[in-house]
Amino acid sequence: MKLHEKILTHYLSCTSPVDKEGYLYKKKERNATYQRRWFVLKANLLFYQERPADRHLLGVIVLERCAVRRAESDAQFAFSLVFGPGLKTYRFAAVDRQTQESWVKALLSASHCYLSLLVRDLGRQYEEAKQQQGSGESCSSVTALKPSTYSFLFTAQGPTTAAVVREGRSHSASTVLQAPSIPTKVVAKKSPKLWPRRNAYVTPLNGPAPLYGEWPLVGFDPLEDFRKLHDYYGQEVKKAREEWLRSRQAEEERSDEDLIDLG
Amino acid sequence: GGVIIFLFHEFWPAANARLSRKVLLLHCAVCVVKFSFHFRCRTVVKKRLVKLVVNFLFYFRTDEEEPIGALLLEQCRVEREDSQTFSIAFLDEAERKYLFECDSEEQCGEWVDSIIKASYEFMRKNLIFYRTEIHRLTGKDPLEQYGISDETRFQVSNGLQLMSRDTSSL
Repeated sequence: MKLHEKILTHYLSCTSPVDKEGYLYKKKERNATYQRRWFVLKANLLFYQERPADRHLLGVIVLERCAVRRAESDAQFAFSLVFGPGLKTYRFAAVDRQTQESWVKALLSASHCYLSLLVRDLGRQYEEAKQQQGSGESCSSVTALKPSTYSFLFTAQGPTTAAVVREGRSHSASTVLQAPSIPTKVVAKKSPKLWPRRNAYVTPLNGPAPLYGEWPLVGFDPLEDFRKLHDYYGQEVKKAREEWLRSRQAEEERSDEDLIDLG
Repeated sequence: GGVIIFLFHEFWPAANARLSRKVLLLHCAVCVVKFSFHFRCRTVVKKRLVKLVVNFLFYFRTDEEEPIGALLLEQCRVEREDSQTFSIAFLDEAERKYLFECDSEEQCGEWVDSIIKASYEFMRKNLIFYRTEIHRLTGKDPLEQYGISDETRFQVSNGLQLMSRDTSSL
């Protein structure tokens, strides 16, 4: 199948945002060695080449329908992209925990499907917020974005009710907000454990599939209910987080070993 | 490159197996779309089945299961050429346009709309717009509840036109 390479390489080098880039070790399945490669994550695409300066693109992995897994049994700070039975698993290793976590987190939210659900959910919240505001405002079409307006970062301000916002209409749209200081009880900065990406249509890759009735979202259309989906898996994350914190303490007691055996 | 094609093929079987799932398949040409290339003055018209999956446009021979090719729908311009025809031009190949002739005006309109909305960058801009607006209207960052407010890819600054990336290293 012809994948129009010029379009891909153009997208890689154009001004669209780079979501993450850096060196990682990629496992060569044939001889079980790791090779250092330069990775660039853009949208739902993971590009890789030998060095940042290279013109030659070695490969592109499309990050759809894959699970992101930690794989400590392979190598230290290792993780993998699992596409499922019959399809290849891509294995990587980072140089330290921070790099590993950072990549795992970036890859977890990279898929087009994920973004699509998120946009729908936010679109709905936007409509609700607009209705609560009253119909006085003129609706700006989504397709007529003026990016220059949005030159500020968000802040997690104190609790503001909708009523306060209504009264505070005199606030100018160009109020500069400060960098967020996220309260720790709401969210952790780093996702401590990666959990397999699942949705209601796919059975988990590990372990037995829960009974039909146990999938709380069976019968729901996940497109309509991103929040429920997120809450459900959020419970899992909470449990996993506690587990990870416990195991992390045990890990740090282990002595330093050579990161990767390239020999 | 041979390597890119090989890797990409890993994606297609998974996509193919779930073509009936709304989540993955955004738009499928039930009818056949005439597919023509304009290469300078020469036009080659071919009948192809075209399928839109996430931000890729796959095209097939009408009687085959495996796609012949795929186009990444980023950095491209989709235009209505006439009532039943639309075109896709990629920013790196201004001279070359891919033309698609549909069976009806309505179908043509649907395709243009779907392809534009399938772009990841388009969706990202929408997300940033909604995030900004929801915060303006409610005082809350809607991404906070999902624990992703510090994700690089969702930052408001990404909605701005970035400076030209130095492409000499690539």
